[in-house]
Amino acid sequence: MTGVLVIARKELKQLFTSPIAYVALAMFFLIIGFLFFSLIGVYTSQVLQLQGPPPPDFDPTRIIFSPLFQDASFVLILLVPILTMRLVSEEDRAHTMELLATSPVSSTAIVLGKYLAGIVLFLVLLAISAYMPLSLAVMGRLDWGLLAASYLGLLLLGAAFLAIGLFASTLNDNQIVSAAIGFALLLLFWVLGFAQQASGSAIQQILSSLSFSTHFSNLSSGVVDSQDIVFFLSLAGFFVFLGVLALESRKWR
Amino acid sequence: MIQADSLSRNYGERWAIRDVSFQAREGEILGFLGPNGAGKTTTMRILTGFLAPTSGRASVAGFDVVEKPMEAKRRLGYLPETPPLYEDFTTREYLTFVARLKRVERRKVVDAVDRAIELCGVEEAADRLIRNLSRGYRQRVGLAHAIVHDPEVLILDEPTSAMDPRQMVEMRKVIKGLRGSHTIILSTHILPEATAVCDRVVIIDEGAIVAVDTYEQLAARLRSSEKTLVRTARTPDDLQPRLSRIPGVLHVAPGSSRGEMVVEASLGHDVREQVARTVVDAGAGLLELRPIAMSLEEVFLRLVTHEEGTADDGGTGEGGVRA
Repeated sequence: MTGVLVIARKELKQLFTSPIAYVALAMFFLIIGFLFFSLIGVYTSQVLQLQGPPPPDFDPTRIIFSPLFQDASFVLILLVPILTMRLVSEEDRAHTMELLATSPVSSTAIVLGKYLAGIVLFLVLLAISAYMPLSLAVMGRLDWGLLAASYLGLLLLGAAFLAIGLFASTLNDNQIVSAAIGFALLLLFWVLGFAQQASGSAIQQILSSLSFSTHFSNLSSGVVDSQDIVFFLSLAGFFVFLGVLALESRKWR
Repeated sequence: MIQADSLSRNYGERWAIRDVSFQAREGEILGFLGPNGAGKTTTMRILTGFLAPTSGRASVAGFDVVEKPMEAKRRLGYLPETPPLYEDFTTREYLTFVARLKRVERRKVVDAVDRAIELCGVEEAADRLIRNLSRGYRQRVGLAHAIVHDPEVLILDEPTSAMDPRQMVEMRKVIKGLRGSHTIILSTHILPEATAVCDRVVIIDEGAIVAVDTYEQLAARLRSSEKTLVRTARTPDDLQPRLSRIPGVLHVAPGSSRGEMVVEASLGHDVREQVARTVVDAGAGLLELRPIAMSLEEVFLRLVTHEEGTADDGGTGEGGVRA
């Protein structure tokens, strides 16, 4: 356990002393900030068009935040591989993996430490993003249950994305290639949901239940189903495990 | 302290090392000598647990590196050929991380880092970013990282590569200073380094161990007889038989060039005086007479270079097996 923390601490220090974390966060909030702004515009125009009292499903949280988090999940597909690409690739390139692998820490601890650092960075991102609902909460009433479900969804989604990106990074000592592999894997898991029209109903069901988009849209519309939670957690666990295997197998290659 | 038992490792079809066995005793510096690509790095990587052996066993400080990797790694410091440095850390930050990683007790970390910095003479670089350090300093920071947790066993892969001669001398001094308190394996392809620093040398070539001994012993073993080189102006037919009849002479062979002859006498017999007299008596015209001593270079080459020899044999013997 100490090994995990020592590695996680080092990773965070590296992330925050290099421009990469700041660039990635800035990129995320630039895009999300713009979307937030334009969704408020959409809401405002809908309020102006209202005739009489608002219908019961007229809810700012649903109109602004549900689409916003859907878009955010897509931005994360681009963002997460950039955050994770250097985690292992850079250690390979700089030959520092030789230090980690010959130290009294297991491959599992190395991967978990790096993963933990990624999660912490992602929590920072989520914490900063809280300015959006909080700024609206000053002015009106929000559906906190829906927001909580959405944030839980984003956190689970991020956990799965980070595990996939981290695994991609163990495959290659070139950061760009690792980012590309990570991006391709994430996109694949996303578009699986689109395959519905293309294939028969049995396959369709399997594919769509493997897709991020299906499970995330449940959570971001406020439905907390254990099935979705288990999906993201097991996906994260699976790819972390693959990452450990990838490191461990190097000894034997 | 360090024990390797018929270690082998292959990469696909190619054997990087084959049946490598040796041991390093407590407190000694064992030199690992061999040309590039001989399998030095592979052997060291197996000892450090970075690679698994295809077959064979190795143990460090009494712990098997495959079965008890954590115990072995705790007692081990390893400086790879390229020092594993984090460019965006300062030397002190880096060493602090390594000390924690190597399980140095929390309250001893600062002392351990200070000690390593002092031992390796990198005080000036302590608070500079590693990316801005010269190669010599990087190498020393690399050594500092290997000793920060005061390991019983140190494995150094070409620690003086990329250093200028003055830095090399300093580095060797540091390494020699660690003798006794640490068991050290050091690989090098620089022969004088092996003679200057190491207690014993393991000579490895094409993945197999060719010899293990002290340098003096190796030289003595290879020199099973006293050899004298004689160069003469002329070579009368009866010169060789006359030389062979000198008491103590075992064998007389023609030398490598014209007019040269190598007189081999049993150990302890100095036959130079008689050889000189015989040559002069034979009217051969003595041009040169000198004992053949072996430098480590020669020992090394003798053990390691066999290409020409085996090629002449038509690829038989060792040449055939190794290919």
